[in-house]
Amino acid sequence: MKKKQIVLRTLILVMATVFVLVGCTTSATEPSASDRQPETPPQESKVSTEATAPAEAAYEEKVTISHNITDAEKQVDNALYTYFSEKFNVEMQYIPMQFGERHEKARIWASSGDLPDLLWMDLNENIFSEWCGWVDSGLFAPVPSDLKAWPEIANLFDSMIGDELFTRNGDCYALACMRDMSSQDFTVCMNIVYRADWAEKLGMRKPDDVYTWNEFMDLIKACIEQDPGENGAGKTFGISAPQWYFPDMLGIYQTNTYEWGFEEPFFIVIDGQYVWYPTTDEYMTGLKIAKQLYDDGIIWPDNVVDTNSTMYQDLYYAGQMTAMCQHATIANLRSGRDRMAEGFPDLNREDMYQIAKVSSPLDDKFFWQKQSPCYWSANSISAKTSDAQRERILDMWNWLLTDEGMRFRMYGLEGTDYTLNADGSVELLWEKNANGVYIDPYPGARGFYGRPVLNDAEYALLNVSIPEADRIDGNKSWVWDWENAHIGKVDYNMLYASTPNKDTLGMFVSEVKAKAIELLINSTQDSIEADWKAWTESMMPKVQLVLDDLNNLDFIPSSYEDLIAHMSGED
Amino acid sequence: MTTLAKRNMRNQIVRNNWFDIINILFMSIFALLILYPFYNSILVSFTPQADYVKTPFMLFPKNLTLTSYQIVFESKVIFTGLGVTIIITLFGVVYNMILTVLMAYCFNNEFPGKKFFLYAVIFTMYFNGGLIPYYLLIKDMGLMDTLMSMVLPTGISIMYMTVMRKYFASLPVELEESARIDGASDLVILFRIILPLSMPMVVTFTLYYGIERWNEWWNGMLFIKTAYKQPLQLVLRGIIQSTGAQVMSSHLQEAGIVPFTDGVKMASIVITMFPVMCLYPFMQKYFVQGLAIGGVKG
Amino acid sequence: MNKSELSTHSVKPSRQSKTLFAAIWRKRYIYLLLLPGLAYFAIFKYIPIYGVQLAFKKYAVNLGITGSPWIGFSNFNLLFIDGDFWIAVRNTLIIAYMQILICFPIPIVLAVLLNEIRQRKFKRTVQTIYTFPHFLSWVIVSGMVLNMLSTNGAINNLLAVLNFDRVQFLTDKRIFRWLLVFLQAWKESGWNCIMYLAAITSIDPTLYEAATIDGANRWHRMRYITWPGISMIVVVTLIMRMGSIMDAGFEQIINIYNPAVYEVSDIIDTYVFRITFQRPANFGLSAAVGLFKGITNCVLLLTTNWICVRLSGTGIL
Repeated sequence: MKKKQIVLRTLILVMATVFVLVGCTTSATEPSASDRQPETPPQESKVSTEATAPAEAAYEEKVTISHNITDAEKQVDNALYTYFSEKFNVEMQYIPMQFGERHEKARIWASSGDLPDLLWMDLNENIFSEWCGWVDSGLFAPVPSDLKAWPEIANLFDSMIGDELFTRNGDCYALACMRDMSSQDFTVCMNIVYRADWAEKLGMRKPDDVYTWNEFMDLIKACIEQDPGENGAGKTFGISAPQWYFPDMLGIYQTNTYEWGFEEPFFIVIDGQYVWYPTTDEYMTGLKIAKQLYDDGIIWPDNVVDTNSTMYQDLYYAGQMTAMCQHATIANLRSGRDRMAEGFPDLNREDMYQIAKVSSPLDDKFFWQKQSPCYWSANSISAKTSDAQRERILDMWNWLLTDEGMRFRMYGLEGTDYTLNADGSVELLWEKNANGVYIDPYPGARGFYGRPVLNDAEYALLNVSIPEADRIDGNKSWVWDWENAHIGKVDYNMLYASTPNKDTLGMFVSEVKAKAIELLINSTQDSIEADWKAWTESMMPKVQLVLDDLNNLDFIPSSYEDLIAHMSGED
Repeated sequence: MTTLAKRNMRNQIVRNNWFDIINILFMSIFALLILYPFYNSILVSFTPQADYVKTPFMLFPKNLTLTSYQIVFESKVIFTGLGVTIIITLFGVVYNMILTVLMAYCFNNEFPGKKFFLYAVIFTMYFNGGLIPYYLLIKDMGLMDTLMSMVLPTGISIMYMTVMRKYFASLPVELEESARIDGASDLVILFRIILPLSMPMVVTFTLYYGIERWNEWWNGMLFIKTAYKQPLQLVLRGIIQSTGAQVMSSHLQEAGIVPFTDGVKMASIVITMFPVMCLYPFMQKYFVQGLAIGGVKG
Repeated sequence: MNKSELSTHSVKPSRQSKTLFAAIWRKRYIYLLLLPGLAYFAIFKYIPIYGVQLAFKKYAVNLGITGSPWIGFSNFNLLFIDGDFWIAVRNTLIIAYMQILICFPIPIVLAVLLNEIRQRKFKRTVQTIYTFPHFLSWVIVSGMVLNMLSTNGAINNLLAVLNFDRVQFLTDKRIFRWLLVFLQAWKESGWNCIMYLAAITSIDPTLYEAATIDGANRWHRMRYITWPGISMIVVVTLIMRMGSIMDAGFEQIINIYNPAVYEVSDIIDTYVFRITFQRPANFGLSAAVGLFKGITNCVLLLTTNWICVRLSGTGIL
């Protein structure tokens, strides 16, 4: 008994001590955690002295701006941040989040009135109607209509239609993250990348990497069977896609011959009326082709398990996948090829990650390409921000769009990371790795600086830190698509329409995908058509409500030119 | 004893042995079935990518590598996350235990309104206001972006409280009664008589709560707005769910490290399990007895 | 229990409120000690409960929960005409029953067999191993499982080495529910078996000795001594499990399901998760489902408790 009492007393004593100790340590560590000073390595201190002190250090008032971002911890504690925060006398409070939970967080924050000062979110069919509701509820502050003080932003707004799309009640409420080449109408370079070195090894590579559908599928089959990567039996797989292109990219897109693309907009205009694309014959044909690919083992069987869109690349980088669907932008080409070169230093860096052009399964001469909504994400300023905060945000935005800003975000600091030659060309001072590729000193640290213009925009063409081969290949692919492919257009009119039923029921995109995936895997060639028809019919009561809304819109575009004319005529 | 009986006995022993062997065999197979996934994760986390890809079925490693761990530990937030998790675990367990023990003791007593309070508590298991009011509450309490937002809302597990109450009820009444006659107050009875008798129980539930707090990520995901205040599990969850195209730091790139995504994921899983794995075999007695006691009484 | 009954008698208030007050005063320290716990429930559970009204409202961000307009039973109407909701209800019941059929007996068998093992060290070791998975979160378990069961994973590699076809464990509709149940058994069997093991240990050992002398073999002893010794707790546990039939394991499913198997594995909780986050967010609808589930569960709990009181004399409350 006595012994137990002693045990008890010591336990309580220990607990109490721990309590007190922990209390002390937390109160001691917490402030240092929040305004943590980077343990400045020698290189960084050099920067702060050498780098030209910001000339327009006219910001007397220090402002903090909270902003949600992935890899939040990588954004601070580096020379880029030190320079940037000094220049604008700003402290960025980066709110950490995972890419996969961005919708959830935006919804929670908006619904509880706890938005970051600058909210980054998708602005596409998934969440656009909700965003409209939030704007109408007064959660966001408009971008000033008079942009004289911010000429670069004004320029950007002139060259894109994002500001028109995000205008409600006469004011623009979002700073769009621009992507893709404005000179080419924002055609997104959705493509297939593949192991050209394997094709070469099997003697099946085509000139310029242009394939007919059957040629390419035969190549994949050959790779799976003959195992050019020497992985062992059953360890080489066919083709994979990120979750947002699965299964559409594998046969369903390529049978669409209409003017309109349909990844997000599942409704397209046929003969002046909106139609739910999944009920068309073209969709059925595409679905059957995808089913055949799955049955033949060409589609990577686990693609559907990859709900976070992470694993589809893993096998490619491990050298087990023949091809994958990918935005073959210059930035992606660079990072993909770097990854491959890290894993397989003896093989040709470019050939391991090469863009293939693959025709439609219906027609060897028909190449389908799709336009993407040009701004898949945007930044909105919270209505709770002060004038000083808003101005600072626009100042930063404006500066990031200047040539100096672009250099800052591509290369870093003048003097340490690059020097500017007299003719305006840039000389990069970064280290190179064994392959002769520049090593980025700030990996993952550019989350915010890249917001105004996304990495995959045409600026990448001029970025000397990217190997020339990647820039040439990326641009070649763009031009090729522009010249040779039929480009399915985005119907902004429908995508950004706000009607009662569309706002509550949505566009059924995830439902259609989920059902297509289910049938792809768990139906048979013979029954898939009947199964699909039965399902679309069961959905019709709900879908019809949205269709009716859309068909009652004031304007239904007859062609893309018509749409653009209508949109530019409006303002 | 007759010879017949002796023979009977001998037969039985032989039969018993057969049963034993099959039984032990069966138990061992089941144990291997449970162990294998862990073994596989550890194996993958220490294997270089090339080995993993090229081996048809890997049972033993050919080469060992630490690169997956190197990549995980590259992230500074792993270490701050560990600190955060230790703090919320210590605070949380003390807080949970105090609340739970007090409530269990009270509900083990009779007092006017007991039924009402008990049902009021159980009611909360089935009805809740949902996410938005919960979020607003934490915000209005000023807990947003504090470590306490991961501690205070955890409070009492009704199940643990019930088991503890049933355990208290099973203690001999006489001690408590005689103490009452001597004029001891409730506090004295609880801390001098009941708790010393319930030490195994207290240890058990301390451990249960400890594990729950250690695994905390949901409140962290909702309320933490600073990278360095994220708990370990949230950080590791991020690594497990992040993309294969993750960028490595420049000095790992310079070192020519070959990143192996599966390996990195498994390494983070192993790191997460590690403390529990180390602690568990030694603490098993305590883990088990709580449930055993609760179950028998329940 | 005896003790509490005793004290009830002594304290039982008689007609006058004076005695009631006296009783409360006498127990003043109890109330004081109860206060922290009650405060916790009041703050963190009861304050947010006003959110339940969202089930009858259309949530407007700028008006807040209390200010949002009432819309009667529209949310429930929307819910009950949604085919996915009924699929979710069906799946919840099917998966929960499969768990009862399969996951429920395994720990009992394990406990009985473990009890027959005389090698102490071995017994303790396997017990440690069996109970360990219980302490890992489903995030971790799903990470391990997805890696192992994928087409390229260890299990399929083993099948391939043994010349079998690779199996799509994670996407085949016919397999998936069984996989869920198997994983549940894998993770929780050892843990659940402890309770039965404890019940077995509390059986009087002289019963076994006497039976052995009477010539009873292993099977007889298990059948006629061990089983009756634990049958009561088995029944009570079973009833309790039936009482929580609306819970089929949210954390498990949300972490390993995928679109190919939504139709067979979307349960009420995952359905709520999806209507809250993956469609245009509708907090009214999810509040409606929450209310529906809460009421169902409450009814089940009260029924279960009533049955338990009938059977064993003590309720689960």
